[in-house]
Amino acid sequence: MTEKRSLNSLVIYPDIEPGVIDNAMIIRCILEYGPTEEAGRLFAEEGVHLDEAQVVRLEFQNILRIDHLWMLKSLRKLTLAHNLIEKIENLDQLTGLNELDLSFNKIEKIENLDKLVNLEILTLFHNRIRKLENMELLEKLLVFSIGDNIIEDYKEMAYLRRFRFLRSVSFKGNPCCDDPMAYQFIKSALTRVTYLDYKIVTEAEREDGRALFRGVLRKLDEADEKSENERLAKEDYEARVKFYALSFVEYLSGPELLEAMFEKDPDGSLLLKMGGELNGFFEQYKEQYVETMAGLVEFALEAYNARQYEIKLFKDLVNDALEESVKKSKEIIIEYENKKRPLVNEMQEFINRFTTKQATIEELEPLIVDLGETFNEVLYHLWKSLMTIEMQLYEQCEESRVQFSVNITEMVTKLLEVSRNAFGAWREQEGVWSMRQFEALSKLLGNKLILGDVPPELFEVMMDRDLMMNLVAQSSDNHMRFIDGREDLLMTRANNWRDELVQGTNDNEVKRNRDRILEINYYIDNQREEWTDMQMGLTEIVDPETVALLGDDF
Amino acid sequence: MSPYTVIIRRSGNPFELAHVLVSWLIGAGYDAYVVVGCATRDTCMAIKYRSICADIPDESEKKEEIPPPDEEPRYRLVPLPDLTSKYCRDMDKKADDKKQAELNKTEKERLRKIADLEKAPADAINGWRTHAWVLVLPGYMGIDEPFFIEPSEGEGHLLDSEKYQFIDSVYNHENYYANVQSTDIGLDSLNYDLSDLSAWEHLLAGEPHHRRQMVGIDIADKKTAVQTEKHLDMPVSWVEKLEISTDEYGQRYPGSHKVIHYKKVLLDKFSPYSERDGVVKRIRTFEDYALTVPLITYEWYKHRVDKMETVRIDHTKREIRETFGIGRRDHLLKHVYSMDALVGSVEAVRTMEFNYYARLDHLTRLVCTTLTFDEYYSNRSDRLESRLVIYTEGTKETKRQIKDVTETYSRNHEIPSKQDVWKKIFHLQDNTIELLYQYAYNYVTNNTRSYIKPNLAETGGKILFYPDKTSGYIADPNAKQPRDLEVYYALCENMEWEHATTKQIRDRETDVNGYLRQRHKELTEPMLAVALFDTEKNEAAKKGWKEQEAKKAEVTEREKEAEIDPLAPYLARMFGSGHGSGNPLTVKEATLIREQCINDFKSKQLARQMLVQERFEKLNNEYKNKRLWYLANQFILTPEKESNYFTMSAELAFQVHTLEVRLTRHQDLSGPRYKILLEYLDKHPLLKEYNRSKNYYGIK
Repeated sequence: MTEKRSLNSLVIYPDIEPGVIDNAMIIRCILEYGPTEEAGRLFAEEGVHLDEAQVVRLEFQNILRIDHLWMLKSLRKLTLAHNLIEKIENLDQLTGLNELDLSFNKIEKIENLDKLVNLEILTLFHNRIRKLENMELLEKLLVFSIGDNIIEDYKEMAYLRRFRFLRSVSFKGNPCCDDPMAYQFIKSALTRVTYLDYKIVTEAEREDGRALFRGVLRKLDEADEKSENERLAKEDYEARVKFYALSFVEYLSGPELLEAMFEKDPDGSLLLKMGGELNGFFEQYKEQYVETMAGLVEFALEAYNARQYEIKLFKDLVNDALEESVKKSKEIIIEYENKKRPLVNEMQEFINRFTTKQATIEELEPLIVDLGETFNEVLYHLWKSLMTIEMQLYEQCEESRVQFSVNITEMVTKLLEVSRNAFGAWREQEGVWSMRQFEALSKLLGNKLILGDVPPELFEVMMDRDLMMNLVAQSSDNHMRFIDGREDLLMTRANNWRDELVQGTNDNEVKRNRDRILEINYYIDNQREEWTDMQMGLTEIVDPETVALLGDDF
Repeated sequence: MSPYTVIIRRSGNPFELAHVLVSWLIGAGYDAYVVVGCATRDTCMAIKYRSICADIPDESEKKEEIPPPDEEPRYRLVPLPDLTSKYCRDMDKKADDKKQAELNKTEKERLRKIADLEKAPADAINGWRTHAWVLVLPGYMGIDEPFFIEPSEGEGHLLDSEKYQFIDSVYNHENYYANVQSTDIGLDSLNYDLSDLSAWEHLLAGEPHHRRQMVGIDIADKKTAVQTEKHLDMPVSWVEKLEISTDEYGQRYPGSHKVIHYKKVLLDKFSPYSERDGVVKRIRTFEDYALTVPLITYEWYKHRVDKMETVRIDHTKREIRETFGIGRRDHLLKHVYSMDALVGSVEAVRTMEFNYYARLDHLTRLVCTTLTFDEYYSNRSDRLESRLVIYTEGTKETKRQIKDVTETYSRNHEIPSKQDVWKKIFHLQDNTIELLYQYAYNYVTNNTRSYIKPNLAETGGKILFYPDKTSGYIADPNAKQPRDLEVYYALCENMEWEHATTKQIRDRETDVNGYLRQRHKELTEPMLAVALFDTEKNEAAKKGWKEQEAKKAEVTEREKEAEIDPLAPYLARMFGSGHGSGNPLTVKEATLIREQCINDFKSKQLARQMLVQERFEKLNNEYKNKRLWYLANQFILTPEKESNYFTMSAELAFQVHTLEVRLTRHQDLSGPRYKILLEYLDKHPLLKEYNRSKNYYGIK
């Protein structure tokens, strides 16, 4: 240990004052590790753009605390090795981080890494870590180095089983490495890890370990399997909800929502505890509800497909038209370039004649002006054709756009109508249930004999007619509110979706149109500038008055 | 002549040819007849030079029409307002139509004249020329309509074909039918139902067997059946069975070669393997009727080692087009080049198409001219689509130099368009590089960047960056100008790229030169491939088989020589070795030797029997003992011991059984063996004396 320390202190610049990270340090390090030679010159001239740096190496800087890194927004690889850091902190902003190197520091605890979900390579070599923890969210972890720390129990490494992509682990140099069992355990427990301490793990080695730790491994396997199954089930459920949400009918298939409704309503649940006849009614209610909603869900799914088809039809049309117009425009530009080339050549020749003193500026002037006019004409023609094409495209698509919004609105309206019916049926069923509940309860009202073994709360209620009636009414009210809420949700979402789609389509088209016009004008300006530049090249040598004279035309 | 003779002689008149063809057709299950009737002169005399050759490949391009969409589209573009004058359009159309009609008329007139001139001269005995051909009737082998076959050419014709004029009668091996219908209305309107007596008069009463209808006849009793259903049968054919050997079939045509003269066309047919270059068919088309000015020559090849399949030589354009099958080393599929092209030179006009799928570099097409060299690729992983090279004109002393290289890439949708290069243009002579980037969505202009290359000799090999030596256009008005560093990196990359590209072009030229040399060799020294299992033509294999057979024969010969003489050891004992073929022995010696031999044989047989018997008994006892032991201890044995016992006893039982078999076999065989020995000794040449005396004395 002492030897290692001395080695460390040899490497570290002793003249740097221990401190925190600051701007100057980051810039210095970026420049230091940036490109060299000619590229380096350009790099330095441009200045450092902190928000664009992808790789930053802050090594041997005697850093005490991690700080000031939030401006490095696009950072992918960060090296903080060979410093004096004691705590992992202030890394929350670097969500794009892919590789983090914190080796040769004095870190005692793994923490504050939860935001770095894209981390694939994490190096914590030579620190003072005792325990593996707080890394649950680093799901993409691929390479992990924890060598030369002070982990004393090799069973700790079973923590790494949760990382599904983990392939390489380095572990050497921990106190528990002296135990011959340690490696056997790790090799057998981390079945997905291919490389341990940068050496490939053979199947035979795994087998050895498996024989030794059969009991422990089985327990781990079971736990893993359970969590894996839960994870899969959850993913599956979420995917389904997401899918149904596209049709606005999430949670509506199956009795799920009805159960949720009773859960949220303590009065209803309380009364349900009465049992007997009531349970039968409840089952009936549930069945009817499921049936009603199944119809709605089916319709909604179909409606979803129909909408997608409609969108596809419209998009196809617009895209085809756009493609066609782009093609036409490109042709026109090529045509223009062909017209421009002889003009440019002619101009070049004038310049040549002038520079070789074959002609004076006075002689050439009318010719140049003429040429400029021709060029302007060509350019104007180009502008006109391009703009015509764009205007035609815009106008041609407009009617379809209106038609599309009408069709989509119609479809959404139809869906809402069906959903209104379904929810109406639900309300009716709720009313029937409420009535039956009341009747069933009325029969039992005050009958101490039968009510003997119900919960005391319910007993109390059942002794008092008013209380009971209130409760029933309250429960019914609650339910109605719940149903209203769900229906409202569906309607608002469907309407919002429609508005967004229609508005979005319009906005996109308008934006596209503006972009194109901007581009055309920009291109034309560019061409004109080029031409002027060429004339300037000629006239630079001449007196400024002539320049002004020629420049007037443009 | 009988069909058999016709096949042997390989020639015959129309009747004989029709007989052969009908025989084959009937043998194959068709309902075929020989037709006797009248035909035109050209048909009777097999004159082809007035008819058009049907084998000329159709080179007109086929247009594929896109079927209109099934349903009316729900969305459509608003049509642009039409601002042209309808009146003007109508007038224009009228004028056009008129012009076209006039043109059509003159064209028609011209065609009519040509047809007139091409018409056959008048025939004095038209309608009197007797001819025989073949009629195939429907009902068998999936034939739905009756049709004719011309036996001299083997081609089918419709019933209304102009070749044939009248039908007198039809016949086959079953009956002869005379036509009683008028044939003036054309052959296609005849009634071809031969069982219709009002149309066809039968020579033999009754229908042939397969068409006979057994209505109202008692089939059960054969005798009454024959008596009630009255018909006559044709006598059985006396012609020998027709046969064509594989060898003869391989020759196809008499002398393996046939020439047919069509209108302005010569068609040569060759049998496979008959020509050195593997040509099987050649069509030569000519400008004139006298066949002097060639137009296009088509050739078809088979079994060539270089996989060449067809050649098309256009004499007017002086262009040769070769097509190849897949499987060549250079994966060439098509090679089009000028007849004047320098042999094996890339600096000539030629186009080569390749099977890119099989090539590592995915090269699809190569187009060379004297000053350009264009490569086209498909599906390359680096998205290169084409590389077009333009050369400066070379003089006699200097070779041509690369002037411009243009590389085109397809769009990579994984990176933004501003980083995705579309075209790289290297002007090698001007020292400039031009980069054109891909078009972004909705953009009609693309980013460009051009460089003037720095002079590396001045800067000591380092690439330096000067902002005034590069310019570019950014299509997006809102985008930032690229950083100098990026521009610089692109420059470095492309300078390297230019170097690599020029090297690749040179390599490619070398490659192509190699291909062309190879092609030249293949054309001048054609080779034919022989299938591995072709016993006739595969010379190497044939030689191998012959050798093998000779070897086998040799081995059997040797074996025969080395037959074992059971008397040899005894002879050797008595006279020393090497007496094998000596003089016959005296009776005394012979008796002695014979006795010894027989005794030894007997004792040996006996000893062997004893040995086997002994072993058998020993093992059998052991087996029995084991079994007894097992029966006694059956219930106290551990499972391990029990399974041990079972394996052991199975093994023992097997051994006992083997010995038993051997014993019986020995007993069965010892008798015959002894007999064979005696017989052998009786015929032994050395014991001749003894045997004779034995026979003489009748000793047994």
